[in-house]
Amino acid sequence: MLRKITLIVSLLALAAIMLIACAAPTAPAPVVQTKVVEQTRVVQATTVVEQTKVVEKVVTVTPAPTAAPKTGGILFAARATDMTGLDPHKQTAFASFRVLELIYDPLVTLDKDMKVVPHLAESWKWSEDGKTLTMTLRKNVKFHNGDAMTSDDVKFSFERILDEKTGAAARANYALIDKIETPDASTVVFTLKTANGALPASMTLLNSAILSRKAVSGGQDPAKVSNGTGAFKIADWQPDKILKLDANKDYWIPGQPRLAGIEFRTIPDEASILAGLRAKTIDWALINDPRVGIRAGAGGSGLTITRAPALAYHVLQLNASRAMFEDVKVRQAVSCAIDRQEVLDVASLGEGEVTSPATPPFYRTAQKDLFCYTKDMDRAKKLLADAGNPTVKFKIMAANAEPPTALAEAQNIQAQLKKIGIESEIESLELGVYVDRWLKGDFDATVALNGGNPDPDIMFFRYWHSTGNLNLVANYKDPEIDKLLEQGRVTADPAKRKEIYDNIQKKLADAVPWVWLYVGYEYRVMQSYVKGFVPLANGANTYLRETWLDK
Amino acid sequence: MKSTLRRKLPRLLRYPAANIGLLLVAIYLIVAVFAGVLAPYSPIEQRAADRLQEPGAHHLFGTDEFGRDILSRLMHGASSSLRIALFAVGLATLIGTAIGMLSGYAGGIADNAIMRVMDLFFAFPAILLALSIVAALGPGATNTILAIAVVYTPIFARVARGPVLAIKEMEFVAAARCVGSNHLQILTRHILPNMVAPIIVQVSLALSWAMLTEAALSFLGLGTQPPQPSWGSMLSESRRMMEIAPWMAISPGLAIMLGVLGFNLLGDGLRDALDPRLRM
Repeated sequence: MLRKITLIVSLLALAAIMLIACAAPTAPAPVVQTKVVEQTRVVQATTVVEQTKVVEKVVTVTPAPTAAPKTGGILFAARATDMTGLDPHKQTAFASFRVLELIYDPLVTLDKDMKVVPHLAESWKWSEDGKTLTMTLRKNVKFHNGDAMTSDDVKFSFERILDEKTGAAARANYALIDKIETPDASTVVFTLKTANGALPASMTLLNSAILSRKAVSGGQDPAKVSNGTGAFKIADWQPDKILKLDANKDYWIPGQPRLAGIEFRTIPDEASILAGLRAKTIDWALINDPRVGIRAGAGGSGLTITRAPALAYHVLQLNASRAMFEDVKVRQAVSCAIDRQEVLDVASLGEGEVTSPATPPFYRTAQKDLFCYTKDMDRAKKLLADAGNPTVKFKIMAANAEPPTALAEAQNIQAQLKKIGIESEIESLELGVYVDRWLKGDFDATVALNGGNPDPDIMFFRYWHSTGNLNLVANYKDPEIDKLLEQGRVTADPAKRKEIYDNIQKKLADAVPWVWLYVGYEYRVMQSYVKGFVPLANGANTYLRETWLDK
Repeated sequence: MKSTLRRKLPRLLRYPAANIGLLLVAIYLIVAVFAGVLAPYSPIEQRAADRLQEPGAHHLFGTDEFGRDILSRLMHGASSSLRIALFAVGLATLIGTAIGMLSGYAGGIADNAIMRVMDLFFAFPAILLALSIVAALGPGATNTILAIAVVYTPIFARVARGPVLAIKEMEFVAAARCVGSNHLQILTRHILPNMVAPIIVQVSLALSWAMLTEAALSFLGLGTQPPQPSWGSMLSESRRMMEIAPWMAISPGLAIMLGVLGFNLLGDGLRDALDPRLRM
């Protein structure tokens, strides 16, 4: 069924050099010295996933000297939040992924161009009818405890994910797997109930990392002891303080990891992380707050900053099941009254871009084709009038500091909606309380930062299919969207697939269950002697395994 | 008894520190009460064209990332912090003083029981107790008032109980009892007027703590809710903007400092002026 698709590569490169003289110290000055924007569109031949990479690189003026990679040394890394748990199948927090992706490996992974490429599986092929996926595993992979990884471990891992008792975060992505067979130690055959071209893409998730059958069924709890196949292993973890990783000397990629170890420190205040970078006590850091990120290069700090548009998106979720938002016209009026760029300018100081419902660049529907993506006050007022000018009053739920921009977004949206007579109140909650209520769908409206994915099926199905595991959070059902999502899952042809997801996005923009706002940037800030790190558009840190210290 | 207060209060002006306190409190009160008239702009209206202006002729203290005038937000923040502090301290004074007087007057097991409950509240650090109360009740101005009131009630109870223990043994109380005054009359007419001085000092000090507690709760996002301005939340929001727009953090920080300093100096001065043990 899966036919070979010809490789289309269109490359757009754009370089702009802006040299900025020393700005007045108090003025909010732009800090970009050199900007390279590279856009690559790749349609992958062996799978149906098609991705566009937009990686923007902001580097300081000094060109990086090229030298042969050195090995050894400890990288001191910092970020604001620690991981929340060790079991790779159960994690949902970004902070956990960013560490566990160094400890565990999935079968396949995404490369620099967000293309699905072999990882623990060295190759794979589909049967004619697209229902059987045969994967060949690498033979030289060992778990951290020294056991060899075999097809049996793969079977065990996927069965663990599919077992409802596990409570795996991404179970829905693999629900179509009917049975898993292991003809020999390095071959796994997945038989599906119906064809699902997105399966390899969903196998790139850390949530489908491979665990050891022997260790786990022998009583080792993955939530307590980590035993992966990844480039690093955990040497010491003091939650919310320090996490020490040692290099895995038996890692299956020869010569990697180049570092002898990584020491992650959790420093909740990102401004303090920046201070640490400037004082050179930190080598590498992950910064999410644009208000901190844009200052990292200021004043000739000599730091290297990479910035990539995130796939995670800022969104105003309206609850269509609440009385004030039942009428689609009211929701449409909200969408028309909000200037999304203004929200971005205020909350993230313009650091980001307004996004369509799908955030992977290839699948983003052109904004001109979406309902009211540019602010239109007259239309908003007319829509409210058509709805019978109801008194709309609601509460915007926002988490206190997660993301750091949430309260600013809520305040700006509140002010913008007031101009068409919609009154709102802001309810700021502590993150734990917020997440509880968010999962129950217990809110009139909320500002949220939701995770994205290179594949739109993984992004959309869980929220917008009536059986999706987060449909309660979306509080919106549409049989036609259900049908389109099911089609999208089994469609292999990229052009047709994009058309399906374009359709879904148009429907979502018309019905306005949510008002999609923007995607921000994620910043990786590092010392000039940190080499070889490549930021990925999905935020993954996997290239820390290629990172080395030039000192 | 009131005449004693009237006689002693002018003494307050003899202390230079108390004068500074009086001045700061006066400025604070005027700004807070007349914020609506004095503030040059609306504290919540967002003007995109004015975003992140440095302090200057149009905006004396600059603007924030929403284009809101910081001076106007400070002024309205003063009102909301004064409102919360007054209500909270008022509530704590009424309830705390009543509990303390009853407890001291009744004596015996009742006294013991009441004061042990008060000790229980005392055992928690004030901010922690306020935090947990607001976390349980939910954020917002009313709940902030309640939380601060609960935290400071035991202090007033303790301050009120001490003098009552001494005063109730005095001859004039016995005399009042002899002429047939009931307990309520004795408490309100004879004991209360004799213990006003320490309560007033305590009110002044409690106002400064209440302001600080409100600022702390708002800083943590549990007090006054955005977009309504509060010094604490302004400080919290501006923290990440320190490098980009330092003026956003400096002015609410200074405001909190001067406001609290004013009430503290005034409280110290009042204590010096009113305390019979400190004769100058």
